[in-house]
Parts: sequence; structure tokens; C-alpha cells
Amino acid sequence: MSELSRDEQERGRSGLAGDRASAPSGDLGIATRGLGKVFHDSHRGEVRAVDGVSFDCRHGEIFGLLGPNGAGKTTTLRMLSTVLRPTSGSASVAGHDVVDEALEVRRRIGFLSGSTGLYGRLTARETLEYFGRLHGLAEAALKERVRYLLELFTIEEFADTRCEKLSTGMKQKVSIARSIVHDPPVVIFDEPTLGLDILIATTMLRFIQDCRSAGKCIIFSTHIMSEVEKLCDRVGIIHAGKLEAVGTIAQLRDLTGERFLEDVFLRLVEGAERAT
Amino acid sequence: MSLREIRAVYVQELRNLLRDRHILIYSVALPAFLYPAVVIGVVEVIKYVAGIEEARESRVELVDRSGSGRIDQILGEGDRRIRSEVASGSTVEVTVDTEGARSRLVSLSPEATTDALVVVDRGDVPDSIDATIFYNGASDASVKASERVVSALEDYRHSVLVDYAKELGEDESFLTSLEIEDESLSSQKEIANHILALVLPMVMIFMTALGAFYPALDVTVGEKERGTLETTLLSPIARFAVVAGKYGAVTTLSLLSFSLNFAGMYLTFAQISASNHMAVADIGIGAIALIAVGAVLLAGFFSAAMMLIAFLARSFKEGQGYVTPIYLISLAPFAVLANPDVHQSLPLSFVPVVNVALLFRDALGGRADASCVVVTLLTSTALAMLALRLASGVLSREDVATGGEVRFSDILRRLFVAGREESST
Repeated sequence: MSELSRDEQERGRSGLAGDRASAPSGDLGIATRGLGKVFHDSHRGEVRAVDGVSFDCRHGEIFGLLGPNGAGKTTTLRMLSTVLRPTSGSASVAGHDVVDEALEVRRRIGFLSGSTGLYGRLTARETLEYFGRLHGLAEAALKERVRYLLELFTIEEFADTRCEKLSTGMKQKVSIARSIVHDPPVVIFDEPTLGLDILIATTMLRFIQDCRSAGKCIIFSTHIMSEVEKLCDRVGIIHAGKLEAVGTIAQLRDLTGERFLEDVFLRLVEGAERAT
Repeated sequence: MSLREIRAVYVQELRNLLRDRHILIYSVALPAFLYPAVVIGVVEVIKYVAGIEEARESRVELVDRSGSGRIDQILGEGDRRIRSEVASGSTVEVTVDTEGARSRLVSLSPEATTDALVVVDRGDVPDSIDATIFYNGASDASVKASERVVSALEDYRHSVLVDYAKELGEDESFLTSLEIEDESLSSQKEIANHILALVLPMVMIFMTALGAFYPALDVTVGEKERGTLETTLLSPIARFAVVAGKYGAVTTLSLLSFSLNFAGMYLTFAQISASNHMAVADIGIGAIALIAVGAVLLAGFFSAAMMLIAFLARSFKEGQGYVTPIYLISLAPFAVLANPDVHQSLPLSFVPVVNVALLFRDALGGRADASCVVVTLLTSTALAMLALRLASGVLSREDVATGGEVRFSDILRRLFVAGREESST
């Protein structure tokens, strides 16, 4: 990622609506209370994908969501993004309820996951411009913002290449740029480094750290323990739809008596399995 | 919801669609070039085959049981392209039943090298002869041979009658006691317009439906499959704005498909008509306006209906399975339109697709009824809007939007509830 001067960063944010810019550090960006989701499957019947999940994430904080495959991480994040409706409990993003104020939530959130694809036949620039327009950015501000993001993610050279012809790493850069084109105060990254080589993955992690420095509220979901240790201020361990533990890494170590995060994770997950 | 949002979705979808190779082929290249080329090719093949048939000599075997020998001479006269051979008894066997009323050909020719067989017998009247032509109705060459023999024998009969008239001291007009003449009051252009009014509604239905087919799948289930639908739904715009923008793009491509095909076909038929010294249909400004209105109504209806159904599918392949029957059902009105005597009526004005096609047909023939026009416009617009509203409601359902399992019964039960939920956001 290129090192942009403070002036350039300010210009990149200029023209964006005031409340889209970062909220004061320390305020609650995300709050969930007893959040639950039940799916109806013709083969398996009623599937409780998320069950009573409660946690907070403040601005200027990175909250890591850890869990095995099928634990309910992505479902939880998709409820926060308003793509899925909770079947129980509640959640708010930047003070807005995800069910009753879905449009307000979408204005204030940047969401990236494996299920949010790119238009392969659009170029990187067209992609950013399109989603910027959908977020209501004025044309002049949009041009400046797109230029800023292309430079920030060092994708200017491929700006006019169709997304379907980009490498996996480049596509992921465009996806992240797309998710923050409106400079949201809350961002959710669901496994953003999946399938990336170490160089691009490192670039992504640095960017997420920069987001924290900018006072954004960040939820970060991953399988990679080293990324959690490097980035997250607090971590939630989710298993079988339930949040088994929440705290700083140090608190989780104390809770389990384990030194390494892998062992902390395994202890909590295995404990939950034994309990059921 | 604002027009700016709808416009942003529309422009993006249209750009995205026009960059897809399959859509370019099916919605642009085929209508503009291939179908007219196929028409030209078919016409040329028909002309070529007809030319070969015309130039080919008909082989006729003759069984003359009258003993006059006149028929063999008649068939060989002039440039009739008939090569007659007197059949030998060993190659042809003809039986005549006891009543003499029906003849049955047992074997035309062992080598099947004969196109027709002419059996000549003495007639009941002195000096008269009876000729029976046996031919194969399933063979163009055999039918042609029969026609040529009939023509030759008709000419012969006429010359015999003329001779009789002369013997009686009368001239040729004596033979004609009743002269029948028919004359069409329609100009060639009017006839061409009539044919156009019969054919064009079918072309309109076919092309607008075909033009909407792939784009409707691409912007709905195609996007669902590629994950771009969810990306778009994360934006702070109403579901109806997303649906309306996509709908505009699909309708545009449907109209583009029809327009290209119409222009291509019209130029093709004009070329064919000119080369065959036939009149070309006269399409004035009024007719073009009617065509435009009819095409917009049809394209709007098909786009909305196909998008609505395609949204329910989980994969592109499944979407093709869902939309194909809609496409085939849309061709059902051809059965009505094939009858030139069916015209617009108030009850038919409520039948989707058929109403627009008949409206156009009658309007081109100068017999459009104002009340039918109004009902057709209202019905078509209302149905398209209803389909759009339903599509918006369907899209508001998370199982549809996220590619999850969709149960039709659940969709039908909760469709309007979902629509109200959407409107609240």
C-alpha cells in the first residue's frame, strides 16, 4: 500500500458527508444483544446458525471474531450488514438498528466477505465509481475519492482493467477499496486475507491497522491466529452459533491457562463441545 | 428512492450486459445479422431448388390402350419438358376394378425412374379418350410431372373443342358461355402491408422475449451466483431502485434486440421484394410510432416477468429452467395471430401479449378501436408494474437475495409482507 501524505488522505475524504467520516474514538460502533438467526432447511429442518450472540465494538478498536467453519461468524456479520434479518435479539451499527433503520446502517458500514463479489465486466475504476454513486457521493468528490483509493491500494496501473482479468490479490484490493469508498465509520472484514500471498496479506493487515488509527470500528473475522494476535484489541470466540468467550488476548489466556492463541482457541471450542 | 439511484444502477447494468459475449451474440448479433442472413439463405435455397425442379425434365410413362397414339404426340409437343415413353407390359401393371370407377397403381416402375404414369383408354363417347394420371403426391418431381401432363392435355382438349366449333361454323368465343374474372382492389403496397401486419406481431413477440431472456437471467440469478447482487444490496438504496435500474437495462436490451432484428428483416425483405419485382411494405411515421409503443409494452412485460421468475432461482442453470417455459408460453399467442381473421376486441384486450400484438395488427390495418387501445395500454403497463413490484418484494427476501433455498409456497405466502417490509426501509 502506498504511503499517502496526511494532506492526500484528507483530500481523499473531502466531500464525504460529515457523519460518514470517522466517529469519535471510544463510541460504540457495533452493539449486539442476544442476536440469533434460525434458518429453515428442507433437509435439516430448523437450523440455529447464531444463538444469543452479544458483544460490543468501539470506534478505534479491532474486534476479532474467531471460530471454526460453520460456527456462525459470517451469518453474524451478514446480520450486521443488514443482508440477513435476525430472528431474535437486536444489533445496532453506529447507533442505528439493523432491522428498523437498515438504510441508515448501510450508509455507515463497509462490508467485505467472500459473498460480496465484484462485477467482472467492470474495471476497477468503474466499480469504485458505481458504488460511490450508490452511496450518494457527489461526482467531484467521487472522482477525488476514487483517485485516492486507487493510489492508496497501488492499483492505478490496473484501474482500467476489467476486474475479471485481475489477479486474486488485485481483486481483493479492489474489493476492500469498494467497501470503504464512502469512508464508513464501521467496517467489517470477513476473512479478507483468504487466498492472498504474504505480501498482499501484509498490505491488507496494515490497512486495517490504519483504519483503527483513523478511529474506525472494525470487526475482523479470520482463521489465522497470527493475524488475530497481531491486530485485534479484543477477540470473540464463536462456536456452534454461540459466543463462548470475549476479551483481550491476555484475558483469554488467563481464562484458559494456555499460552498460545491456537491452544486458547482449542480449549474453548473443545470445552464448548463437551458441554453440549 | 431517487431517480439518481435508479439511473446509476441502470447505467452500470447496461454497461455490464453489453460487455457480455453471450448477450452480445444473442441480443445483438443474431437479431441484426444472423436471422436476416438465414432468411436470405432460405429464400435463395428455395429459388435454387425451384429452378432445378423447373429445369428438370419430367419422365412420364404412357400406357395407351386407346390405340390412337395421339397422347404420346401431344406430350412431346412444344417445350413442356416432358419425356414420355410408351410403357411395356412387363414394367407396369395397372388394374382397373370391376366398376371401372377407381384405378389403382400397383407398380409405377420397378426402377422408380418414372415421375408419372399416364393411362389412356377409349372414352364412352365415340372418338373420345380418357386419360388417368398416376403420380406420387409426396414427391415434388412427380407432382410437377402431373401438372405438366394436365397442362398439355388441357391444351389438347381446348384445340379439339376449337376444331369442333369451327366445324359447326362458330368461332372460339362459342366455347365460353360464362367468363369469370376476379380483380383485387388492393394495391401491391396494401397487400404487402397486410402481410406485414400478420407477420410483424409474431416477430415482435419472438424478438422482445428473446432479447430479454439472457439479460433477465444475468442481472438476477447471474448476479446472485457471482455474489454481486449482495454487494449491490449493501448499498443504501431501496430494493425497488435496484430492481427498477435492472429492469430498465433488460428492457433496453430487449428493445435493442427487436429494433435490430426489425431493421435487418425489413431491409432483407425489401431487398428480396425488389429483386423479385414485388412491392415493399410502406411503413410510415404513424406505423413506426405504433411499432415503438407495441415493442415497449411487450419488452416491458417480458422483462418484468422473466426477472421476477429468475430472481427465484439459485443458479444460472436453474434460472434457465425457470424462464424457458415463460419464453415458450410467450409464443403461444402465435396460434391466435396466425389467423388473419382474429381482431382486437375488449375481452382480448385483457390478455397479455396477445392484446399488444392484435392492437398493432389492427392499427396497421387502420381499424384500431380506441377503447381497446386504452385497455391494452393499461393492462400491459399494470402487469409490468405488478411484476416489478413483486420482483422488488421477492428481492427483499433474504433467502432470494443471498442465494439460499427458496420455497415457492413460502414466496407466495409472504411476498406482499416482504414488500411492506421493504417499503419501511
